[in-house]
Amino acid sequence: MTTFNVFRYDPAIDKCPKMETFDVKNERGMTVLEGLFYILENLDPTLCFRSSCRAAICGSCAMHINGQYRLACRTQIEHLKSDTVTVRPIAHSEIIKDLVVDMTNFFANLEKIKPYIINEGPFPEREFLQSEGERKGLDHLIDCILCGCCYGACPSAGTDEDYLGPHALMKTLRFINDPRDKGGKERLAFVSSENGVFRCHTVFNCQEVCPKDLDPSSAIARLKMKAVWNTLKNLVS
Amino acid sequence: MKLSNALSNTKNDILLNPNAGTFSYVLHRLTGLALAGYIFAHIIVLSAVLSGPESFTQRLALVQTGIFHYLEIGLIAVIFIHMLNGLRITVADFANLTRLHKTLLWLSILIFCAIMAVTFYVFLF
Amino acid sequence: MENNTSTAEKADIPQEKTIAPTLNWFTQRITGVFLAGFLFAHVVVLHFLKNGEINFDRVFQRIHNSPLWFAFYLAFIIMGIYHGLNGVWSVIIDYNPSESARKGLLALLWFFGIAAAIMGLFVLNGLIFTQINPKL
Repeated sequence: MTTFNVFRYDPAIDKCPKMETFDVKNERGMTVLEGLFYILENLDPTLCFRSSCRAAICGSCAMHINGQYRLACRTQIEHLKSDTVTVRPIAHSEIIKDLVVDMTNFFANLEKIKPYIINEGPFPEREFLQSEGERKGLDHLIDCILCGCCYGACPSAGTDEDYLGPHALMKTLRFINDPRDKGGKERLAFVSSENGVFRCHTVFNCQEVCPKDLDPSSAIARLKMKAVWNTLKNLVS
Repeated sequence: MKLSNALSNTKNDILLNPNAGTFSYVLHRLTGLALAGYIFAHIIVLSAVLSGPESFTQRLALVQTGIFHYLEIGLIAVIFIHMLNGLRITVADFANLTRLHKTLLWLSILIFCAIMAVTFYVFLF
Repeated sequence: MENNTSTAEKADIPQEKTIAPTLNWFTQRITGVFLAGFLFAHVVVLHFLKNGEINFDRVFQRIHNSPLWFAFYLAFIIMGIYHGLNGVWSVIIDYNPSESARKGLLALLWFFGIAAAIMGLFVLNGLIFTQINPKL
């Protein structure tokens, strides 16, 4: 038996959030997501949470589990080494119901950095060819599944909804590093604005929580250097 | 975002992310604000020199005796916490050593302990 | 988000708007590194090696008419005040002050910074270039 402490809040009915306790029959290899499904099927059909692929690919089931943001589908209850599992929604976003949050702002911040290749041409006859080395430069940067763990864990994102967030900043570096992309300049301007990369206070929470073991902190550090050199160069010339 | 929301978010973020990074971030902010205040106090204390050497010596004697002597140990601790953590995040950013941030943290803790050992030795013996 | 204030506002940011945040961050790191060296020297000389009480005569003997110490403390004072107030400013903008609060707080920080720098320079002058037993 494992005790689940689950965050419950329905803004339409409840005045304030509360934690509800459920006893879940724990089998070997069971994930936190399966525990939530157990509650949904056997104990309380009104529990609300997002999930889809159950294989750490879609990034829907990111939540705060026992002191850290994780993907519920990838976290085995056994590995938490605890009799209780405490589950909360991702911070810094409005709660729609229980563990489901409104990610509008998260994706709006991603949209700001223009997450698509900008290239006015001339275009090659067939596809843009990429060398192996060029593709290597994008490794890890493109593996982000946009689950929102880093955004929830970042204290800078908590004080400013316009702060781009580790997810958007890492995507920025992915496009700046891409030789097919010609929009580096406008992106860099966004990145070095007040809500950009310099709001980062190097807390390393994004790296700590990333379920894909990526390193947004490193992307942000490299963007800071690029932004600084770019600005210094503009000031000198 | 409203100030009250931002402040409560900060509080929750600290409680929900009990990492080494959060810990050093909070310490860095608090020691930084304390040191910014201390610069002003320091200049005001030393401004006694404007009314002559005797008053400077008197004022300095005042802040070197009794409880101030022991508060100085705290001051040195605050200075080196802020300094070492600042160097750590600067190195991590400039040399792209973000994957080593925990190693760097342990290194700064080690240096901090060494410096504090010297401080206690100098101040108490 | 009731009114979607921050949704997909894709207008480009003008180059001028990126200069202040970038330089604030960069100078904060640079002065920080310098201050680490200065402060270490300062703490070692005045706290670890002091051997007895600090008074005017000892400070005077150490730094009197020394251009090197003058340069050291000049840089120390300016960078220290800048680093401190720039750090306070970065905490302030973290909490999104309104446009008017921003202006007011920035003016306040400039006022304190300049006042402290002037005061600091007077103190420095008093300690380094004072003739024996003067009344400044």
